[in-house]
Amino acid sequence: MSKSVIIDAVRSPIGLKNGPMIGIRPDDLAGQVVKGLLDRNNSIKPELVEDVIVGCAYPEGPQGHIIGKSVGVLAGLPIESTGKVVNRFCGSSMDAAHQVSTSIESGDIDLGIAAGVEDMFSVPMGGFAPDFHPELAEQEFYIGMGETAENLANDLSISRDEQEEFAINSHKKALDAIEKGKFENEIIPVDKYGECTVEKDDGPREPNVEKIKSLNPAFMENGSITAATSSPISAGASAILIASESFASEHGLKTRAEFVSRAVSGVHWDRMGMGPLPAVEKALKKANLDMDDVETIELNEAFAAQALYVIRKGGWDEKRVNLNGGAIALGHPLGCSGARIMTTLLNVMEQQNTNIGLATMCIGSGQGIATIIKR
Amino acid sequence: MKNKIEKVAVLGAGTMGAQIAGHLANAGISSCLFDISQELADKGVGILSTLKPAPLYKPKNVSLIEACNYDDHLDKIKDADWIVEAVAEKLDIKHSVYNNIADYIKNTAIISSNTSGIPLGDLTKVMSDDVKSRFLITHFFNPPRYMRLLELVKGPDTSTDIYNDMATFGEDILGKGIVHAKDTPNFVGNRIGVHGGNNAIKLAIKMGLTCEEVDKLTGTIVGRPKSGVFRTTDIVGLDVHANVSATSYNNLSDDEAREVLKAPEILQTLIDSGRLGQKTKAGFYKKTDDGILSVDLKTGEYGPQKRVKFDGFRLAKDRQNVGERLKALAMSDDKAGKYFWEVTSDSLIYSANRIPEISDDIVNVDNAMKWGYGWELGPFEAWDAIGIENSVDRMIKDGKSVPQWVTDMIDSGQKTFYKIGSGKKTFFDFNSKSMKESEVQEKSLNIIVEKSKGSLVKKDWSASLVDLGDGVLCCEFHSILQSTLNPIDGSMIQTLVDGLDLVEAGKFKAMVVGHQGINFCAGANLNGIIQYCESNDYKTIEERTKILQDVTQRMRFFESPIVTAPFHLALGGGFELTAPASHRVALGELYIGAVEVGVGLIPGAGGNLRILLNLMENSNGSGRINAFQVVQKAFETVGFAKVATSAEEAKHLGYLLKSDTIILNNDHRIWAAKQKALELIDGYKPPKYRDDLKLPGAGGRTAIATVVKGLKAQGKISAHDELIANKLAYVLTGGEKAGLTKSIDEQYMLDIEREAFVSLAGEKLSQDRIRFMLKKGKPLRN
Repeated sequence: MSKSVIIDAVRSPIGLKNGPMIGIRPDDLAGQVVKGLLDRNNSIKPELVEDVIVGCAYPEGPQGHIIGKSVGVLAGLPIESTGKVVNRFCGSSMDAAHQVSTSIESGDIDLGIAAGVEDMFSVPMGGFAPDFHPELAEQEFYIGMGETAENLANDLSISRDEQEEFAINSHKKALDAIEKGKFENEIIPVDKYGECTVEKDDGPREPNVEKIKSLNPAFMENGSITAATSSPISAGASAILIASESFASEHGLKTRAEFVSRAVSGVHWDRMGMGPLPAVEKALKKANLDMDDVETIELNEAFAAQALYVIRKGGWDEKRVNLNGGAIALGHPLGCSGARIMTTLLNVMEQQNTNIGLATMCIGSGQGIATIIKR
Repeated sequence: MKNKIEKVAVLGAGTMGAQIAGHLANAGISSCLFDISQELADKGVGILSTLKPAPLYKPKNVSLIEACNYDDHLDKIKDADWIVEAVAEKLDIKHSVYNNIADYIKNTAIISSNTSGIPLGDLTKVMSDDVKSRFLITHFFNPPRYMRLLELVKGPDTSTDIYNDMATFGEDILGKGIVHAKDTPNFVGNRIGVHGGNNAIKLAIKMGLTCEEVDKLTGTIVGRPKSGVFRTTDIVGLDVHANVSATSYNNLSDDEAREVLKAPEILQTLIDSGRLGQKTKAGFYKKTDDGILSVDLKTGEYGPQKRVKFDGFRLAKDRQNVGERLKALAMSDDKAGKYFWEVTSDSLIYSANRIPEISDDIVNVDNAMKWGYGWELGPFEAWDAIGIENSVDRMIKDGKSVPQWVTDMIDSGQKTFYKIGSGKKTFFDFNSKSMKESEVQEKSLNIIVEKSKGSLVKKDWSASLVDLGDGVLCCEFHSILQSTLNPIDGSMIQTLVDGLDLVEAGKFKAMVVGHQGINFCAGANLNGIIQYCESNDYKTIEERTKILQDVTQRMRFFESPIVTAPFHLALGGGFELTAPASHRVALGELYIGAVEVGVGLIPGAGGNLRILLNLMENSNGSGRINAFQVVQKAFETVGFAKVATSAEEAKHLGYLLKSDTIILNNDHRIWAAKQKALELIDGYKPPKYRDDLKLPGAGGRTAIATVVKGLKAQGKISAHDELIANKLAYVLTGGEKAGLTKSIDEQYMLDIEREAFVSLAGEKLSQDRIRFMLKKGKPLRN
């Protein structure tokens, strides 16, 4: 069995409401990111890419019609290239990375791209024509994400103040990362049809504490979660170039990291935010590692309460988590986020010079997904 | 009209200039809005999105207005067909603006000033003879979107063609009521208004009435805006009122009532202490945490308002007709009656004395007060209502000096200023001292005048059938229950049905449903519904709802065209009556909405079906919109009881079809509806019955329910709201029979709508909402 290794990983800036990214088609956005990835690895001929797997949570409208293939075409891959779409909601593009990595390890392919995209402005969360099963609705299967996070906040009595402190930190860390150029290696500037080039994330900003404290709860009348402690609606794309170890050495490619283990795990949907805990446990076990061995963690911040729940319940060292900020500051474009946090993880590990890294996220409907990589 | 006005330059981007540009945009006309700096021009365009009440029919209209400055954009003036100046009321400023643009005026352009007081002769001093011939005064009232009055004043050099073109443009395109004024200080509206307002304040002080008492006696009871004299002055601004008063006082040294024209001392006292009314949050009234206080007119100190209690007021209030209320109040011999008599008789005499000084006829004076001050009756119409002979006797007895021409008129045997008969409206003409027919354009088709021709086909309590000629029958509403709101009652529906029968029998070829009252129809008769609820008679509610549904469906599939003509309020059932017609000719000022949720119900007379069909039709050709999205939009509109604040917005919300006609002049509405009906007669085919309605069914409904649940969790809606919302979602998603692979028909949707309506009427919390609305006139949140 061959090892699968990460050659490179990139992402677009993440755009928020009324920002300059709005108006770029999601297929174009992902196309530009994949093209950017290939351009900076131009020693590899595009026709060697054997498959493109795109993660997307609502693959319809401009994200529909098998965006996996269309993104490749838009990125300049040959007509004969292949592509597919994977949907695991928020975990979609991390799952895409898992799929590319497993088909490499099984020997099916030698080189593939795992990408992710979501434009939550052109395709609303829930899609254009939601059609829910009444019996599942009875079981609260369609529970709002905010409500699931309220449940977690209640379980561990995570106060509004604590959540706000976490959110403020997320912004501060992201601002600091931007200032120190820590995102430069991961962002592919995107062109908006000649109108402008976007190079920076819209989200991170100097927290206005007074404003944050004044917000009404966003999901429950007497709840503790506000817009400031939730990840914002956003748009973005990400892409990872994955190869077999042998392919890398044959082509003289520098390997940035290798896959150590992958896992998914299910939890109750009314507490979907705890999903990372069993998934990480599974991934650690497969890798024969302890949590203490993990030096750097990227934990997707769907909600501050949800992230705090996972950190506390798992007994994680907060100082290792999301060093360059997280989704609360940057945004959480559903299908994009998995490959996005893996990209950021890779860069943080290089910046911190650490060896073992973990990327993990919760998934609406009650799941968790985790990936462990090694430099 | 010789000169077509397609592009306008508005000079001065203050509140008036900006709003004139805004109303032009409402009429679909683009303009350049100028000011001395780009910043000020931008600011002027900007306020159109923030001012209340909204100057624009829809926010997007702002795109028709270009902010310009005199330094960089003078060239754009060359394109203007009409240049309207609305800069500060200072002659030297106006002159410098005129000089500034002189070289850029197109040789066919009309030039006008929006001055409210500067004599025309002074304005034109700096103009060439050519420009003078194309210059006139066009005096809009604030806010221009809402105030119908447009006073036009021509000078000795103004070309008649130019003047007439502007009158036609104002009437047909901007929907304004034109008053032909003379070049006298404050023209017509403000001349009479200043006298009446200041006299009312001074007499209140003299006779010891409070602000709130006066406002009660000068508000809706006498057919004037609810705010009354003091509150209205607060809204207008005390400083503005003082300035307008000064224009009269300073320039009218020979006026027989000159001392009345002088602003009352209390006004200056309040202004000196910075209390300018609403804009400074204090004037005659002051809003505080302890409620709204009113000023003591003698001391200038604020105190709590006293309850207003007058026998005269109570007596007058019960009468439906404003003329009768005026009469009752004037006759009452309590303090209220005496005060009202003094104020009114002085105003009537003052108005009569202004003929021919400010206008050659009484019609323009009455129109000015109706359109510019929101009076239901102008002074001479009010005088007719009170009774001229008796009131003149009383005036003389009081030692008041009644104008000779009025006593002469009575002596000649003419006992009213106006007369309607034989299809004509006539008025007493000052010059010829005889009754003269009003100059009426064909477009100003008036149902009352039509009826006087003998065109009344049938008269019932709350509605009539009138022959509009050319084979068009009109169903006119005039509710006996509430004449201003026209709630639906049995008489209206029966009359409508009788009308349909007549057309069906071949007596007429088409029908117009509309009238010229205050509001089209404010919906169901809630009083009736709650009575049936209280006697547990839900069977009758069910039957009546079915009748209404059947009538609206009959309208929809009627073999001859039906055109409805909604205006002002068309709420709940008002929307449901207007929607099934072949076409609608709607007034720009239309406040239409399915507001049933506010009283704990959902539309019951086909409103759900109508809004879905409208949204489906409106979305054709404007990109694909799936069944779920149609339902979602309908759900949000009806679920939140959204009311469109203009006919344009109504098209956006789905209360009107995009193909419906919008007309800005309310006087032309019935005529335009008739024209549309005539146009539709040839080859008219009713729509096909829809048995192919694809709606989301249970799956989509469950998705909506999840969102509704979230709103409840957020505390944005109550448990009862949630119950109503889910019933609404049930109907809009097509009940049990609809789904992605199934279709339903119209009658099924009507049946589930009726069932939901009746079941909601049986909910105690809904009944509480109805009772609250009837008592307080606003929705209860429970």
